[in-house]
Amino acid sequence: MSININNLTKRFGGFAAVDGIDLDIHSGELMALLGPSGSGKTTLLRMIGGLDFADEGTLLIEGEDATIAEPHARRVGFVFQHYALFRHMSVFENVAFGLRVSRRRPKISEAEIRTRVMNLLELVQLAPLSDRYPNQLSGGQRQRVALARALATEPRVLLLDEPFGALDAKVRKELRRWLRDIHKGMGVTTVFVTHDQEEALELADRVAILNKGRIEQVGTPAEVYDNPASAFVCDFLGGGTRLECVVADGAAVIGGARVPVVNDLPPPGPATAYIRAHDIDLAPAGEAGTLPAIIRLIQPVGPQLRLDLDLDGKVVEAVLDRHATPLLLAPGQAVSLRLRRANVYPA
Amino acid sequence: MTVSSGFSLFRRRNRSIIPGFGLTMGITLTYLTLIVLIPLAALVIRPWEIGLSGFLHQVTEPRVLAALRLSFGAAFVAAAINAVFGLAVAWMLVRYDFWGKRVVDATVDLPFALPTAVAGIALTALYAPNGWIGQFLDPLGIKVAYTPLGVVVALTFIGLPFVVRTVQPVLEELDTELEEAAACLGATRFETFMRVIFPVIFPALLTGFALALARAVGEYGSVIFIAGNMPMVSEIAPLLIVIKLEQFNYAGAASVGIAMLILSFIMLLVINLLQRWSRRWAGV
Repeated sequence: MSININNLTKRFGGFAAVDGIDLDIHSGELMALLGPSGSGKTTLLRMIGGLDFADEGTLLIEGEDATIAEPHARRVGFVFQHYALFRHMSVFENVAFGLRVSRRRPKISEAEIRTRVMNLLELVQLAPLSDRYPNQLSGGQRQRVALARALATEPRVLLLDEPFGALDAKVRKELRRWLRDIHKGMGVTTVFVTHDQEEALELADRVAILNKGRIEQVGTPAEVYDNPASAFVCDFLGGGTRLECVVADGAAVIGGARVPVVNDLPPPGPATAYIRAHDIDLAPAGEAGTLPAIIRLIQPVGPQLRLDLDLDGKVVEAVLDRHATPLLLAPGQAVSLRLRRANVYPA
Repeated sequence: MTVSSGFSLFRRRNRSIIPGFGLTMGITLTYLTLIVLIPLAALVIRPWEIGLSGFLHQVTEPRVLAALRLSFGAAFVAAAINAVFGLAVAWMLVRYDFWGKRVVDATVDLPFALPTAVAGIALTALYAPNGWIGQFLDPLGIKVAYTPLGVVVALTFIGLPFVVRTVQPVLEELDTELEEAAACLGATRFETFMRVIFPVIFPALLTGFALALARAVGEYGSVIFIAGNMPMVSEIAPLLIVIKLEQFNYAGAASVGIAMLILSFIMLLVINLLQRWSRRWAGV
């Protein structure tokens, strides 16, 4: 179901954790709230869920004003960062909790509860563990119980706070794919909070990037990656190395080399350019439009060759394809760099 | 070969990186023997001179039975009162910030520190028919001092800190996310407390209850001042032991002591089993 957020503001003391945010989340969408810690993303999620209440602004869920509604009245499912499972209840009872509460009308029969809980546990692949207690489960399993519990009440909106934050890399990758499948299957509007840009770009239909309680940019993963609206967004989405430049004749001039600009060109004059590590090539020395640099460090990481290069005293990071780099490279070696493209923002 | 490899496996399994098992085990046994076991053994050996039938005769005397009933009954009631109000105090101290919280927190420990005789005298003065509180209760026909009710008041006083101090840390550890999760799932406040919070703090509450109960059963100093010590009515078992000692009836005193010991042991065992059951989710 759609969510419309207008000028939502939340202050803690004098500090505005969420500062006048406008955001529309479409029905059935998988939306990521991405930002560094302290950017207000979790507070925004909690306000959507009814766990915190806004000082100003309005929040509509499916067109109804839900700004001050109680959490259960919003019919949202919330998955907490640390799962918040009831540790004195079995997996089955945890998932059944929302179906047994007295506010539930009409009452659901015990047989019906059993069917629905087991179907959900089937969905999260935990049916054989329904009698276990939470502390007998691994982190990934607990996260799946938390998700099943949130889905049991058939929420209109599913909210997840740093859903994979506490898990190791492999489990995280599995759960990501699995969450996307579940979202596709159920079609429930889903909002999740993350500080991991890769997670946001990989999983979400659209990403909202937050900074200091405000939204910097909203767009599809490709849009925000290809055309970051601000230096902050560019930097946060792996902007690479920051270099000073001068904008002239529709390009950025860095150390005498002309570099094509991919985002909206700022007015001519001094500016800041971000060069992503993938957008740097090594070129034969002295070729036109290249910059001389010295290799400081070489790290082979799986299929990649990561280089730290010294460009006029600034460290520039570059990533090359290890198997497509026939040159023999060594630290201390002088090389030439070709910068393929840059994101440029007014200084 | 198989024997030696089996042996080395056995050795390996017994190795532990945590040092000091031998040392701490030795200290524990010596200490428990000197402080607990030898005195208790003496208590059991003493009535030997009167035999089992003599023992049964001593403990089934109406005056002894009445004293035991009062001691355990009043202790149970006092511990139950403390379980309810101690939980409320602990809840308030953990959940809310208010002016003077530190003072309230410190006040809870006073029953630990105060000499129990002082507490008994103070409570008697308050609850006597002409005391500050007693003068208002007296017209209502409620007599506290010099009655079994007075015994309950004294035992409630000394037992309060046990419940508060055992429940407090568990409440502090309780994640507020649990309550938020319950609220999101549609639980009312009352349901959240009964089904999410209470089961988690119940084991700690039982421990506090058991400690308060054990302390109250053995309490002497504060009770003898407020109880009035009328045989068959407001005479507690520990006082009866002292009376028997003063009459040089050592075997009789020891018999009452053993009866208290056995009852206490059974009670604590039951509470312990109940606690184990209430924490069945904690085991792996």
